[in-house]
Amino acid sequence: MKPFNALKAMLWKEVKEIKRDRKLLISTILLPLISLPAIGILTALLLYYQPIFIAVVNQDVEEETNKWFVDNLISDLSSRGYKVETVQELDAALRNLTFDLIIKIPLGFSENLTSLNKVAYVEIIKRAGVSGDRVDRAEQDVKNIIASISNAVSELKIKDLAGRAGLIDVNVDAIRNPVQVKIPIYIGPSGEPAKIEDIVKPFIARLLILSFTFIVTPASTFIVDGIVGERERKTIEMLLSSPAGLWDLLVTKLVSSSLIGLIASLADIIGLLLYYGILVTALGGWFMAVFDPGLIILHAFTAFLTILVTVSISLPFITRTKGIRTASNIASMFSIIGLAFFVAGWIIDFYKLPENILNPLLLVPYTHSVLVIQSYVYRDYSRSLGSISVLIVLSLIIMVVSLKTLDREKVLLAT
Amino acid sequence: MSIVIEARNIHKNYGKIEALRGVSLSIREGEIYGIVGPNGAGKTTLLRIISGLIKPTSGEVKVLGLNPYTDFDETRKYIGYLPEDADTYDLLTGYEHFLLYLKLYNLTTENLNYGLELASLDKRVHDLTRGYSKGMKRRLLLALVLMRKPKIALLDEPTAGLDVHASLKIRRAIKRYVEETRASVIVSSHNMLEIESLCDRVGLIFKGKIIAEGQIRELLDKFSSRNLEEVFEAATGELHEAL
Repeated sequence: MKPFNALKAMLWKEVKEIKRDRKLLISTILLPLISLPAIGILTALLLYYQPIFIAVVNQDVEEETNKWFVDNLISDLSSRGYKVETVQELDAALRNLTFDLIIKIPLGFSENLTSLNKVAYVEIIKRAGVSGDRVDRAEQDVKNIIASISNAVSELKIKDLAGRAGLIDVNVDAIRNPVQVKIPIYIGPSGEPAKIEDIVKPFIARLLILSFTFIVTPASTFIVDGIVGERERKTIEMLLSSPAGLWDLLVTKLVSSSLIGLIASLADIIGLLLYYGILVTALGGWFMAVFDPGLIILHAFTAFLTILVTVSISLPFITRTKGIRTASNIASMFSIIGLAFFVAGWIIDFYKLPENILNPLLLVPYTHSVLVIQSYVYRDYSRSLGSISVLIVLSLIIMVVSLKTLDREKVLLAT
Repeated sequence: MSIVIEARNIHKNYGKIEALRGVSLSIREGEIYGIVGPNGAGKTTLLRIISGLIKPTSGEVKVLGLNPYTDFDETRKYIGYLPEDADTYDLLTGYEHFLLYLKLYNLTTENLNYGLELASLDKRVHDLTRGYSKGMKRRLLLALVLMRKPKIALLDEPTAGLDVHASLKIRRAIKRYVEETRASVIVSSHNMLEIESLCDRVGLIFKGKIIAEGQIRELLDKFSSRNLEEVFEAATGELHEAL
């Protein structure tokens, strides 16, 4: 028999089955394509329908200056989408659970605002709740609006004082903020000023790393079905008794489940690039700038190896499991280990970790999955190449060790 | 006639369960040997051991002088195995099943034509097998096993769950195969009547032991019975008494 004949025959069969299982293909492609925009749309809709409510408790109602301040504050906050109400009594605002944020303007505020020796304080009261982040953002908005009003008032005061002192050449900012920071400059990996796509690409890389999670999951399900499902459907025994042999069978299952992951990976990357391509165009960049063919190929290849590692690790456990449900749970357990690394890779730059932390992590294949993408985006191509080489070696070693632990009897009888 | 399969004192344990307890048998060239016994008697385990899929706990099996477990690759050339309740791939056509096994075994168009003839699925061979009846699937699987004309065919419950008509077609195909090729066939079944009509020699298996063996006529005479069911009843009765 020609070498790899059985393997080729089995792969031919697997590909035929995958091509004909349209529901599998559609769900594999549509899951990542639909899920990310769906999450975005749902969140946006819910955010729209659940605004932040702000109460303004004005205890200094007599003064005209105060009315000017409150009107400006309410108008500015409303224009930013907040639901603002004026409430007479502080207790009433505190007892009303609708209000996420309460702005208290105390008695004597106007007098302090116009004086030269006192500061006018505004109190902000926040309610703890599920909208924590959004309340924090609202608080920041309130502070920004007050700072802007404060600037306007201080400008008036400085100009008035300068006039009284007979000073003509007075720069308000030179007195109010003598030291300032200029608008930060973004630089790209090469140290030059960053283009919009340079700013977006690292974010794409983070999402691509996170997307490994969506890729590994369907592949794990597929390998469970490939082994335990075939055993339950009584199709595996004839193949095991054929010249195809155990290795051909298992390697075929590993490769075909990795192919499923590869399809999911391509769908993922297309969805993400379309999304960010549109975003970059909207921000004045070039749509095609985010389409980096190198990144696409690297992500697909890394996804393939990452899946191969995951299914290889779980294979000896899956094959020893009798029921498909237990096998699925075991596969999920191993996917979750990967998930931990991919979520970490979403938040953390692995290559910036101190050596005493990074070095032990390098023993875990998923660390290399993250490093391949992160190093590439930061143009450290040699490190990216190194990581993918290690990933290839590790996935092959794990696959061989995994296959060595199995024999025909174990696969057939789940012992 | 030469011996093609020789099993000596085969034991097989699954944990604390003794599936086979010292089974010995010899199969000759060109004969159809029936293994008869109730569910759980050890028929499938015995066939899996002879096919080389599982390893006996103790004892020795030789297929054409080779150990089917350790010489697995070599014995593939001679053994064709149809497992009990084996199913087809729903998303492949019958014809694609033939193509798969042609590639796996590196066979010729002559084998393909022989397989197509054995399966006798006509135009339905190009349909996905998920639309096949149980009888059609079983004929297809049998044809996949026999199309390469193995010297030894191990058929585990080849007609289980089939109606009378479909069973008859399968039995005819097996008989025809043996006549044409002079191959040795082991057929396991719990259907005694089927074994009577198909086999030259029979081994009655009960609780992991061969309790009686021989040509059907000899067994009927020995146990003064009219059919195999009565032989089985008498043999198990003797066994119970002995125990």
